[in-house]
Formats: sequence, C-alpha cells, structure tokens
Amino acid sequence: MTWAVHTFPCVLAAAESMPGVQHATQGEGQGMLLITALMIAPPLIMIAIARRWKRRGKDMYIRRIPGIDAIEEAVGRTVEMGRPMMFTFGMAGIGPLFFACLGVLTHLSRMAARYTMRLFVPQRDVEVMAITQNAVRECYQEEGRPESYREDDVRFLSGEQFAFASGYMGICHREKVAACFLFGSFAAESLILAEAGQQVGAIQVAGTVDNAQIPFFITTCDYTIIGEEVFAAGAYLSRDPVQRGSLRGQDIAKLLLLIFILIGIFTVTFNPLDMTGGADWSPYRSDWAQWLLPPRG
Amino acid sequence: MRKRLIIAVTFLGGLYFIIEFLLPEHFPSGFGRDGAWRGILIGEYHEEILMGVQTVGMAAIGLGLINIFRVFGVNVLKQRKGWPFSLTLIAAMLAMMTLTFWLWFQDLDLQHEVGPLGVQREFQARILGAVGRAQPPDPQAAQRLQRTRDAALLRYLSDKRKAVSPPAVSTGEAAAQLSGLAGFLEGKGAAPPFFQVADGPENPPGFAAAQDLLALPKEAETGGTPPPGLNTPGADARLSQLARQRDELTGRLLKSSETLKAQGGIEVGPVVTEQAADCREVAPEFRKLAQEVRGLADAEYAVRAEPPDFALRYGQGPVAPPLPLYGRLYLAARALSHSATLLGKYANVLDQAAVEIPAAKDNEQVLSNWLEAKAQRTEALRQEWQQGAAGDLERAMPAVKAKLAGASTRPDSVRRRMSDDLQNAGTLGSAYSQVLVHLDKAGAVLASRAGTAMNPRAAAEAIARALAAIRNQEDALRLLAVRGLEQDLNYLDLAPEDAGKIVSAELSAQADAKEGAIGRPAEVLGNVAAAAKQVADELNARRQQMQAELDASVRGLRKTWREKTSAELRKLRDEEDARKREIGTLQTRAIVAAEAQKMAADAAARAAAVPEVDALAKLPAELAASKSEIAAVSAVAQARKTVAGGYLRLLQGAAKIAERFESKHDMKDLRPLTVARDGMRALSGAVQSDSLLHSAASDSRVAVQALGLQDLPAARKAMESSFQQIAQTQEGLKDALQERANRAAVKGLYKCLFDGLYVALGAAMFSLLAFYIASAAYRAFRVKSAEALLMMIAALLVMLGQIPFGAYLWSSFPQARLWVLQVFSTPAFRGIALGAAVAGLAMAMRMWLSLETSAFYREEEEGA
Repeated sequence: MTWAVHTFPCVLAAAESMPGVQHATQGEGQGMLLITALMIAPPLIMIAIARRWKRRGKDMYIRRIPGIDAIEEAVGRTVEMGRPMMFTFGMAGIGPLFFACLGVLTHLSRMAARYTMRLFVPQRDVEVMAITQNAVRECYQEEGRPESYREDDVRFLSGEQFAFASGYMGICHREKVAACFLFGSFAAESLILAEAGQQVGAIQVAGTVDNAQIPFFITTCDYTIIGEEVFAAGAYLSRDPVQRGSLRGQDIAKLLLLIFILIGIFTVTFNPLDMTGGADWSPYRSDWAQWLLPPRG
Repeated sequence: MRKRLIIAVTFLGGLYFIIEFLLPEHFPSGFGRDGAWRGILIGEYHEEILMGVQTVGMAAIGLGLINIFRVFGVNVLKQRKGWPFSLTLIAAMLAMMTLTFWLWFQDLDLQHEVGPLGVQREFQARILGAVGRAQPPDPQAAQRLQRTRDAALLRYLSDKRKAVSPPAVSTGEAAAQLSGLAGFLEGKGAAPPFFQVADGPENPPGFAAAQDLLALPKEAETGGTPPPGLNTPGADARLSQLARQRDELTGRLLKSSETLKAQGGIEVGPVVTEQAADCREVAPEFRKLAQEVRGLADAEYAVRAEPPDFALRYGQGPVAPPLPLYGRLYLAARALSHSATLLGKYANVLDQAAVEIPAAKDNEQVLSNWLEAKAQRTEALRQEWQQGAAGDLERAMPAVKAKLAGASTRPDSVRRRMSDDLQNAGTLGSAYSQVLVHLDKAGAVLASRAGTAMNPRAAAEAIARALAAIRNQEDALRLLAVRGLEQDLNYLDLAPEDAGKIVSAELSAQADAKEGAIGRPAEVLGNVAAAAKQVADELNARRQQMQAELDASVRGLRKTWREKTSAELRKLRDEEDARKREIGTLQTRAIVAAEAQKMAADAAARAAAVPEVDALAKLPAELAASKSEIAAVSAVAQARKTVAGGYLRLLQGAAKIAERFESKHDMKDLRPLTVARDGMRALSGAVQSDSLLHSAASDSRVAVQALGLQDLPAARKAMESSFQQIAQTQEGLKDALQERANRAAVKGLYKCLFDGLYVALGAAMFSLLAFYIASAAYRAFRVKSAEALLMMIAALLVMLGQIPFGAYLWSSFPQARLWVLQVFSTPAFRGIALGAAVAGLAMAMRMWLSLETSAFYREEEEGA
C-alpha cells in the first residue's frame, strides 16, 4: 500500500511529461488524465455488470429512442408497399461510428431477409464494403434465406463524394425505394442524398454525429437520430448485454461530466476553495485548481 | 482458435499504438533511477512499422477492386438490368488506372535519368568528411577564442546591469521589510532583505547574501589573501563616506520606527503620517546614494583587472571565482535603489491607512450611538407596556368577578372545556414569562452593547429572539386572561370544581365581555410588538446599512490592496521567469563554452600528436571506390554531352526555321511556333546542364588527383565546385524532362479526363445543393406547429442578422443573430459533441478489448 502511495504520484508526474500525453490532454495536465480515466471506467464497469445480469437472466433497461422505433415503422411501410429499402454509411470509414451503424444495418438485413425485401447498401469505401457484404450475407443465412441475398445489392458506387451522391440518387429514383436509412458520417452530400429520398416519397431515418449535417437531416428526413443516440441504436435493437451495459456506462460518464461542469461553473463564479485567503481572486490561485489545470506558459 | 488469434492481434495492435503514442521518442537525460535509462525508443522504428501495417491494409483495397470488377463484370457479361452503368464504371476505372500507371512509369523514368548523379553527392560527402577530420589546427583559433571570451564577459556585464533594475514588491512585503529594517538597525537579527541582494539566481556563485556590499571585502572572504582595494583614485574614501551616509539614513528610519512602535503599532494619528513623510524623504537620498555607488562601479569597471575568461568560468560550479569588486558595487547600487522604491511604496501604504482607518472608526462611533438610543427607546416601550397591561387587567378584574359571581350553574361540557383551559394555563404562563424574559434580555443586551463595544450582529440576534417569542402574543394574551381568572379564583377561595362551574358559565355566557376584557391588553401588547418589530426592523436596516458601508469600505480597501498586490505579484512572477530564462542561457553558454574548450583541446591534442596521416590512411580504399563511380559518371556525362550537342544543333536549326517562318508570315502567336520555342529553351537548359556535368566530372578527377598527392585543401575546393555543378545539372535535367513529360499526350489525356470531366461533373453535383437547400428550407419553414414557429423565428433572426438589409432595418439584428447562435445553438451542439465523444470512446474501448460482439465476430463464435 505504501509502495502504491509513493509510486502513484511518480507515475502521474512521469506520464505528464510524455509528449503523447501532453498532446492528448492539450497540455492540461493531470486533471485531464483523471477525467479521461473517469470517462473510460463507467462503460467498462457497466459492461461487466450487464454481462453478469445476462447470465442470471436479467436484462438491463435502456430508455426509449423514438427515432429508432421509427426504423420498425419504416420497414413495415416498405413491406406494405412492396418496394425496396436503402441504407448508407455515408463517408464513414472503418472506426467506432461504422461499427455502431453496422448494428442497425444487421437488424435491417435480418428484417429484409425475413420479409423477403430488397435492401440496397451502396458503398464508397472498399474496406467498409467487404465487412458490410459479409455482415449482410450472414444475416440472410441466419434467417434461413441465403438464396434471397443478392451480391450486387451491396454495391460500390464511387469513392468520390459527389459521384457517390449521384449514384445514390440514381438508385433511389430507378428503384423507387420506400425507405432510406442514412446512418454514418456525412458532409456536403447529405442534403443531396436526403432530398433524393424525399423526392421519391420514401420514409427516411437519418443518424449522424456530424453537427453541421444535423439541420439538413432534420428538415428533410422523417426521423433524425442525433449524436450519441447513433451509438445507442445498436444496443437498443440488439439487446446485446455488452452494448446495453456500455450505453448505461456512457450515461454515467456523461453525468460525471455534467457534475464536473457544474463544479467548474460554481468554482469560477464563487471561488469557494481559494487557498490564498483572498489575496488574488483568480481561482487558479488555489492549489487544487493548479493541480487540475496548470496555468499555461 | 481463429477467434482468439484475431482478438489477440487486435489487442496487441491497439496496445502498440497506445504505447507508441504515449512514450516519448527520446527520454530526457537523467530519467530513471540512476539517470542512465534511455527508454524504449519505439519512435525510431515506428515509421517502418506503420508502413508495414498500411501495406497490409492496402491489400484490402486490392481485394475490394477485385470484388468490384467481379460484380460489375458479371453484370456486363450477363447483360443484367443497368449493365451500361457497370460498363461505364469499369471503363472509367480502367482508363484512369492505365493513365495513372503510365504517368507513374514516366516519373520512374525521370528518376532513373537524374538518379545516378546522386552517387557523386555521396562520394563528395565522404571526401569532405575525411578532409574535415584531418583538418590541422587553425593558428587563428586561439585569437577567435579570446575574442569570444571578451564578448561573453561584456555580454555578461551588460546583462548584470539590466538585472540591477529594482523589482516591484507588495505593500505587505514593504511593511515586513521595514520592520525587518528596524530590527536590523537595533542590532537584532540579520540584515533586512532589501539591503541585501535577494539570493536569487541572478547572483554570481559564491556571493554571500548577508555581506555588507558597501564595505571592501575582508580577508575571510578572499580566502586569506590580502583584500584588494578599489582601483579608481580616491574611491576607497568616497565609498566609506557613502557607507556612513547610508548608516545615517537607516538610523533616521530606525528612530521613526521606534516612535511608531512606542505608539503601539500602526494607529490613526500623526505618527503614521510622519513615518510616511520620513520614508518619502529618505527614499530620494537612497536613490542618490545608489547613483553615486553606480558611478563608482562604472569607474571601477573601466579600469577593471579581471581575468578575460571570467565569463567562461562563470557558472561552472564550485570553482567559480569570487565576485569582482565592480560587480559588488553594482549589486550595492541595485540594493539601494531597490530600498528607495520600497520606501516610496511603504509611504503610500501608510498615507492610505491614515485616511482610511479614522473613517472606519467614525462609522463605528455613529453606529454605537444609534444603538444606544434605540436601546433606551426599547426599554421605555417595555415599561410602558407593562404598566398599561397591569392597568388594563385591574380595570377588567371587577367585571370578571361580577360575572363569576353570577355564573354558578353551567353544563358539564362547558365545565370540562374550562378545566382544559385551566390545564393549559401552566404552559401558557411559562410562555408569557419567556416573552418578558426575552424582552428584558434584549433590552439588557442593547444597553450593554450600546454602552461598550459595538456588536450590531449580537444586538440584532437578541432582538430577533425576542420577536420570535412575541410572535406567540395571541397565546400569551389568552394566558394572561386565564391567569387573571385563576388568581381571582384563588382570591375567592373556591374549590376547583365550583370554580370550573363558575368560570365555564361565565365564559360561555359572556364571550363578548371576555373579548372586551382581553382587547385592551392585546392592543397594547400588539402596539408593543409592532413597536418592537419596528425597532428591530430599523435596527436591522441600520445595521445592514452600516454593515454594507463597512463592507463597502473593507471591500474597497481589499480591492485596492488586491489590485496592487496582484499586479506586483504578476510583475514578480514575470521577473522570476526572466531570471530563470537568464539562468538557462547562462548555463547553456557555460555548456557551450565547456564544449568549445574541450573541442579546442581535443583539436590541439590531435594536431600535436597525430597529423592528418590517420585520416589519410583510410582514404585509399575510398578512393578506389570513388574512382569507379567517377568513371561511371564521366561516361554518362560524355554520352549526354554528345546527345545534347546533337539536340542543340537540331534546335538551332529549328529556331532558325521558326524565325524565318515567323518573319515571313508574321504569325508570332501561332501555337506550334510557341511550343517549338519553349521546347528549344528547355532543351538548351538541358544541354547547358550537360556541359556543367562534364566540367563537374573533370573537377572530380582533379579532386582525386589532389587526394593522391595528399593536397587536402585543393581536393576540397575541387569537390565543392564539382558538387555545385552536379546540383545545377540535376535541376536542369529534371526541369527539361519534366517539361517533356508535361507536353506528352498521355498527360494531356489525363488532364482532359480529370479536369474536364471529373472536376466539372463534381462541381455540377455540388451546385445542386443550392436548389436542394431552397426546397428543404421551404419545407422546414412551413409553420405547422409551435416548434416550427420557433424555428421560423430563429431562422428569420439569423438570416436578417446575416444580411446587410437586416442591419439596415434594425441595427441590432446582427447582435440578435449572434445571441441565438452563441446562447442556443453552441451549447446544444456542445452537448451533442460531448455525448458523441463519450460514446466514441466507449466504442473504441469495446473494439480494442474485443468486447464488441456485433456482426463482425458472430461467425467466429458459432464456428468456435
């Protein structure tokens, strides 16, 4: 224990001098390291708890997200109309966002296989395309309809932004799709994609973390899933304990973040912990504030 | 097994990148327990590892391309629906791939043409390295070293002069230093800090902080050697005279300080002002002294007898030289000037105190008087109330007795109620007595506070307690009536049961009369309570007002002091930083000087012991290698020269034809001719380069011969000339070939496809956005609900704030727009970004630790 007490500050001090840490925390010091650790810990803990619950047959509750409920509604409409549906990752490459959206795609693929509908997944990234093909094919197999899977439904359009957008528009209009799902990362082409769906009267559900594209989707799509709800979609649809636990952990991490923000506001406004006895009104004068956020320069 | 392998590779890959990101490329020296650990230098190989990983990743692109050809190729072959699109895609991809490969090969060709010349550079670097190693010691180096040392000394002294400016200090520090001065002058304790030089980093090593700078060094300080005197004539006497003056001035300050002490510290009154005046008078004297001492120091510096390598030896640790005399004088001057500044500041603080403390005392007196008056008034009210209540009771008593006498037969229920009332009387009686006690206490507290020390808070609290008791006045009044009745019963000497009968009969029959009896005391008590409340309110208000005034006064004082203090602290901090930087510079300089000395010694030793033979011994092997390289380069140059001569002749001919054609047809702007002229210019450059290459090869040959004769300077000169010519040749060749490549048809085709089709079509798609934004905006701004209305209003505000017409309509539209964006939009987007960042972090951790069980791993799980 004594060893740990003496070692921990040394490790912190050594870590703070590392260029990588300085880069990652923008030179803000140990406080930032602490906060990063606090953001990572709750999801991992809650994942462990959720897995244990799952083994005991309990399920972790997560809040309702209307946008994700709308996915089922859109699929129902598509079945009624007997027309295909479309899904795109936009410009997302291999990364956390892609895997989060892949959860939605697998759900849709399973439903498409179950109700014998076509699902177009146009691609603009070859690596993403390989994983997507695999995932969609598996879903058809799991539903016992491997013969319904068409290889060119997951098709490559173009790696270029607007060429991809024009290809997407073309498919939309030619196939008269009844539902469009835009999940992933988008840039200027977002409105082109969403307007194409709007023009053919498709019900559209969009989900993105790109702040600049959210207004376009809100004005053009029927439902928009904003920010981290995209990451929650997979958990919501799949009932996977890892994803559900992670989602609950994220909520705890955000709560912690909120508490930090409130403490920060309180400290800056009222300066209750000033250790200098009021010689200087700046909150930076107190020892703990300097420890958390060392003054620059 | 396969799944475990993937999980392990994922984890190790993630771990590698995290470690690589966190670990520095090079650890600072002294890291680790014995300072010898240099760390795990992953950074040295990171680029290679990264390229390997990327190459593996590129394989996925290859697989993807194959996939595309397979899928779309089948479409075309089987002529499925939409096959022309597939054909277009395949054709476009093939065309662009072909062109890109073609251009890539062209570039390779260019590199191949220019590349061999690089051999010469390596050769030249090796020769120059050998020549540099064997360089004999320069006879002028010692002089250069001497000049460097002199310059370093001058720079050091100039830096010291700059450092002598007085630092800013806080008033608290000034006071502390002045009291320290008083103690020192009395012979208690060490010298006050501002008569020393702070033992900070700017002091030369070996400088004792407590020594008297205006006295010449004693033998103990010089290590037993007789202390040197000042070199300027008459300076010794002047110095001791200055020291005496300083002592007189400090004596005067001591006297003033003693007076102040006798008055019991800082008090209101003339003493403070006198002290301030003293400080103010003494300060310029100190400053004069400082100027004189600095003059002495300058004079001394002009005739200094320091060793010239003083600055170089400075900062090398325990063997540092003693502080030179003029340096000592500079420091003394700084100390004096510093103390003058401090005294000025101290005087200001005293003046301020002399103004502010009496004002605070006046306020206290006013409050005290007022409290006393209020206490008297409260006491009077209390007495009046007691008398009034007693009189009212007396007046009411006969009526009550009469009614009691007449009331003997009343129902049992009334009797019970009456006996309950009697039961409660005890409790109410104690409450009533508490009211009186509290009023007494309040009065006493007010009286005592008003008479002695002021404590408005305690007085207000006492009054508040009294008020809290008075709040139950209704209960107290009821109690009053019942107690009066009880007394009456005692007086009549009735049994409790009979009394109950009488009382209950009376009370139920004559409720109005009872109220009438109670009315007067209630009114009086109400008046008293109102008066007491008023007094309390007034007291409270006054107290708050006084408190606010006091607070404002204290805040003002604190603010003034804080501003001063923080400004001074900031200055001190800046100064400290500057000093740290200076130390850094001096240390670096010392290290550089040490390195220079070491190198010089090294070179001298080498020159004396081993002549350049050592270096030359290694040369023959290099020469053999270089000769073959030079032969190769010369052959290339010769061939190129022949070709170039041919080109030149051809071009000259072409130019003549072109000129003739132009003069004949007057068609100077015709494109073919322009192209011909440009091409000729480019190829002329190439030919020129080739002649340069030729002479470069000759120079190389000269260099080799010179090396054979061990004439190193000549070899070096020839090599440098050769290198310059080769560099020019490379550039010229590269330009010429690039020009040729740019004019090739393939490049034209590539540009046509890229700029003419790809860019233009992309721009067309992008411009569609403008129309789509309009249609989306139309849909969004249809006011169908309250939210849509809000959105419409916000959008209107933002749009009007953005355009000049909005500002023309109302000048505050731009501010309103900013307000909407900053107050509503920015926090919302920040919230989204925070949530997404946390979710992304959690997702990344899940992927790294292979906790993610989405579609990617399912097959593996089932297979396992």
